[in-house]
Order: sequence, then structure tokens, then C-alpha cells
Amino acid sequence: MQFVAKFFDGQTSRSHNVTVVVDNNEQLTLHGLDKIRVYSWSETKVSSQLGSTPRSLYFQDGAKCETSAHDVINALLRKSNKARGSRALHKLESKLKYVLSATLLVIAFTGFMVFYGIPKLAEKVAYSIPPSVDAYLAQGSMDILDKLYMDPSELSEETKLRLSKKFHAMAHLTNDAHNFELLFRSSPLLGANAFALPSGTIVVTDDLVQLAENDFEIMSIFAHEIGHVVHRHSMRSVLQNSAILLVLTAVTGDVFSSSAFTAALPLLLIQTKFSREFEVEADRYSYEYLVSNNIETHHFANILIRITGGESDVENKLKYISTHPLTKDRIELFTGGEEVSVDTHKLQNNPINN
Amino acid sequence: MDATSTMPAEPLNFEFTGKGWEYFKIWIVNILLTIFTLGIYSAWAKVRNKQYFYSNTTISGSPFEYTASPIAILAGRLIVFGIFMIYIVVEHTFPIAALFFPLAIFVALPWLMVRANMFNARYSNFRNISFSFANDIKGAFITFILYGLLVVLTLGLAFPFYLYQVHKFVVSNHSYGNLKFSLGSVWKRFYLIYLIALLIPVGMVVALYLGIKLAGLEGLLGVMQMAMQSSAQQLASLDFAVILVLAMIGVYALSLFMFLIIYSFVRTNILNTVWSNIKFGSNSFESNLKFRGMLWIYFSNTIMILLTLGLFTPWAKVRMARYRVKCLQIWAESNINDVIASQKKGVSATGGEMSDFLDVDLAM
Repeated sequence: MQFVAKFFDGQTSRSHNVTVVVDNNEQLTLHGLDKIRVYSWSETKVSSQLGSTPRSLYFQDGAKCETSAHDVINALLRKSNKARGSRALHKLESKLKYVLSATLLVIAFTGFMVFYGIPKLAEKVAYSIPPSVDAYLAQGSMDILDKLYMDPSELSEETKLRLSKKFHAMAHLTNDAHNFELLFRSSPLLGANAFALPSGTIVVTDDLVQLAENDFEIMSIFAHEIGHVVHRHSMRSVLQNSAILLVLTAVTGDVFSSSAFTAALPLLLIQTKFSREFEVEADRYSYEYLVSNNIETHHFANILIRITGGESDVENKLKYISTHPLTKDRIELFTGGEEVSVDTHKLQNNPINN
Repeated sequence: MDATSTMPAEPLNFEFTGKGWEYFKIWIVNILLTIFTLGIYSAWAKVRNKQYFYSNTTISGSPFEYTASPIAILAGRLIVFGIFMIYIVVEHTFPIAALFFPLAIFVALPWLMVRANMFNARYSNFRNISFSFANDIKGAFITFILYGLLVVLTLGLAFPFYLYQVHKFVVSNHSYGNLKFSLGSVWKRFYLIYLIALLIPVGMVVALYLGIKLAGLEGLLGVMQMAMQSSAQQLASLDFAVILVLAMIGVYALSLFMFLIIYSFVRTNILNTVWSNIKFGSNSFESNLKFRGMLWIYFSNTIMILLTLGLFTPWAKVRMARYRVKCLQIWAESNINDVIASQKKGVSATGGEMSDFLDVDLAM
């Protein structure tokens, strides 16, 4: 066997064209230099085959040959049973069936991690972090919200006191270490709304209180928000998002430093999916609270319909980028699939439209 | 030196021969095996990735070569992982002692920079002559710590100067065989590049404003105001959160575009400036990257990576490498055949074994 190669002696950068003859004693004889050089095959290191790039034979004295005669080199390696690992690697990297399987496995694994593994892990970790840490996440957010979106509440002191009492009784029942607190705010921008900060601070808008027909409806909303806090949704989304960003950047990484930018949009979409799942979990918390306290579960459905104006076309079209599940699906949990009539007259008097 | 009379008429061309599909196959197997081995294979993956790009980059038909041993890279990563673990333990048991960790890393930074560069250079080869990086810890200290502090003290005004010094430090400590590299004194060009980069967003806003004015679309603002008011009315039917998400996507697209323009501008000009001012021996480089070419590659790569959920990444890397290599030339006055190897490794002052022990790849 023989093949052509470029010879570099390791002393200068000069390139020499040589013919390498391989004999049965596993000796490599290099022709074409000033004088013939002989190397032992068993003491020669061979670089791993990578795509169609030339590979190197490194000799003991620091010289080397560069060649594209992959067939000859591979036959020699096979015969002497050398470099089995790197030959197997090249096989994986060149056979279509392996590459396709690898692609499918990577997609399956990434999907599994992003949609299942990381959320489960984040849940475990979040529950092991003391609730006091949640307060850090919320630090300063109330000031910002007050400055940008909200004004002091215009509800009567009597109403506020009545609802606060009910809220604290509910919070006490949770046996949760968060520092629960109820705040009332007026906000034309947010409309009839309620939200929870990770610290346990829960805010309801005046519009929401006015929209409710009885206290049970408001309590069902309280339960939903307490559910967000108890289930550590903020902490979990922080943990999830950073872990997923890490995975996405690792895969697409070092193309250029804006890979974090590239990962931002998919991350946004994944985030809204988790957000929908958190809403479902909070809904379920509210449902369980209502059932175990013998309160009609319809109350949540009723106020939800009044807040959202019922099902809409727009909502349906945007369901994959919405942070909330479809109103229809949410109501179903509380009504057991029964039809609920929407009082359209009341909708027109909906304070959100004012 | 009279450059014009000794310059050869024809420069030596760089060429990149890598192909997207071929690299995809290596890339995906790398990821799969890294997952299956819980990250251990990542050291081998790094070598294969790097070697793919090295060996597909050629000057007059001769490829570069990356010959690092994956075991050394794995060792480096394990050391970093170990230090991190110690940090976690110390932070839990002696929180106050843990405060010294960032300080220790800060102090060790120059040494780490030098080590990482030495490792990379030593295992970078061309025509069986390896590159090398000088053990210039003093230079690293001045560059990264002193000039770094200067940036902080001047509230960022010294940043282009610092960046130039970093490039100069990296370039001028490199040698190929017996030829030392050097970088010309081009820090003023760095300032010019960053000044223009700062003006780009300002220019864009002014252009937008003038465009609206000239087109007589002052009413546009009124229309927008009306839209804002009516959207408040529609909040009831159109989920507020949905509007928020749509707005975020809009802002994302716009800022991505702005970012790509500025990023491409800075990258193109910094790369051209640095490469075109590097000398080694009596040879020099010339880099002719075009802003529009770079912007198009960055832009289309980003879109394609998004649409394919990351699977386009190998093609993106190959496209960028091909363009950058295509725009690079060497004006060689001396014969590149005559570069002589510097002293062989193993005779370093610190002693062979010690340096071999420390010779781990710390560049993550």
C-alpha cells in the first residue's frame, strides 16, 4: 500500500511532497525527501478523522505527514486495531442514520427538559427555598407599580376592613410561612384585576371589588392569588427561565454574543406556556378552597366571566401567546362543564369600560 | 523599512473549506454525546468543534490544526468545577470567608488569562510549527486590572482604550515559530469606531423624526394617541396580557434589529482594524470585511436560528467563518516556508513536569 502526503519536519514550516509506502512489517517508508525516512507504524499517532479534512500522522521525532488518503489510513488502523474510539466517532458523524437518530434524540431530550425536566426541578428547588427569600424577589416592585399604574383606593374603610378580615382568615388557614398582606388600589389601566407578589402581598383593584356581586366571588379570587404565592410561582418562573436560557444558549451558543437575544423569543413563548400552567394551578387551588369551605364553586366562574366578558374570538386566536388559559377552559373547572349564562346587561355596565 | 518596494504583488489568500451539513453532523453528535455522558464529553466536543474550523482554514492549501488533548481540557473544567464546589461549601459554612472568593478570582485573573492563551496557542499548529504565547503575567496585570480600573474611574470613557490594550496584549504575546506578532498603535481608531457606534442609534431616532416631519405625517402622533385611548376601551375584550406579549415581541424585533446594526458595525471595523495592523516578521495581514456583508450574515443567521429552533446553528457558524476567512489575506514578504520552530516545548523555565501539570485549559 502507498499514499501521497505532505511532510513537515517540525523544524521549519517548509512543505515536502512525499510518497509513503507501507510494507507488511508495518513500516512507513517516506520517498521524495533528500534521504529516505523510515517510521514504525505502531509508534505513529494518527489524528482523528473529522469530516473531509486532511488528517495528520505524528511521528516520534516530531515530524508529521498530512494526507487525505483516508481509505488507506483507515485500512491500516483497522488492521492494527488502533484508534477504535475515534473511528467509531467518525462513523457516528458520517452515517445518515446515526445523524438523524442523534438529531431526533437531541430534539426529544431538549423538549423533555424544557417542558418537563426543568419545571419539575424548579418546583423542587423552589419549595426548598425558605419563603423569606421570596420577599427579595418582590422588593421594590410595589413602589414601581404604585408609581406607574396605580392610585390609592377609593373604597370605603368599611368595605376594606370587611374584606381584609376575610382575607386574613383565609391566609391563616394556609399554614404557609409567607407574610400575607392585602392591599387595595384604584387603577383604570388594570381594570378589574388582582395580582400577587411573591412576598405574599396581594393587590385587588377597586373595579374588581365593585364588579363582584358578593364576597364569595372576591374570596374565590383571593384563593386564586394565594395559590400563586403558596405554589411559589414567581420563584419557579425565575428558576425555570434562567435554566432554560442556559440550555438554549448552550445549544445555539458562541455563534455570536447575541445568542441570548436569539434565545429571547422562544423563551418568551415558553414563558407564556408556563404562565398558563401556573394559572391553572392557582385556579385549582381556589377550587379546592371553595369546595373544602362549602362555598359554591360557581362564584369563581361568575366573576371570571364578568371580568373577561366571556369567551372571545381574539382570545382563541392568540391562545398560544397568552399568559392565561382560555376563559372557557377555566370556567369548566368550576362549573363542571355546565353552561353558564352571561348577563350581558351587566357587561355593559362593566367598570372596565369606563 | 521601505514597504512598497519589497511588497509582493500577490497576497496569500486564506480559504475556508467547511460545509454546513458536514459540520451539522459533527455538531449534533457532539451535543448528543455530551448529554449522554453528563457533560464529560464536552471536552472532546470542544476539540472536535475547534479542529473542524481550524483544519478547514487554509493558507495556500495548508490547513491549521488544533491538537489539544481533550483530557487536559476535561481536567481544566474539573478544576474550575471543584473550585466552584468549594465556594458553595465555604459560602454555607463561613459566609464571610466566601466574600474573599471574588477577590481571589480578581487577583488570579491575569494568571488565568495568560494560562488560557498559552494553552490555546501551544496546541494551535500550522505546517507542524506551533504557535506560542509569552508568559507575560505582568502585562496581563497591567492590561486587565490597571486599565480595567481606569475604565471604572473614567466612567467608561477609557473603554475603547482598554479594549485596544486587550487586543494588543493578546496579539503581541503570540508568536508563530520564531516570528513574533505585533499590533500597531491604533487606539484612536477604536475611539472613532465606538463614537460612530454611539451615534448610530441617535441618527436612527433623528431620521425617524425627520421622516415623519418631511412626509407631513404629524397627524400620525394624533392617530397614535387615539389608538391608545381606544385600546384602553378594548382591554375588556382583548386580554391585556396578550397586548403586552405582542408589544414585547414588537419591541424585541426592533431592538434586535438595532442591536444587529450596531454590533455588525463594531465587529466589522474592530476586526478590520486589528487584523490589518498585525505584523509578524516582515509580513502583515489585510482584512476587508464589509459592514453590509456582516450585517446580512448576522441578520439571516439570527432569523434562521429562530425559525429552526437552533438547528441552523452549524450552518450559521460555517457561513460566518467562510466570510471572515474569505476577507483575510497575508502580504508575505518573507517566505512562509522559512519559519523556524522556536524552542521545543518541555524546556520551559518552570520545568517540564510542573508546566505539564499546570497546562490545563482554563478557557471555558
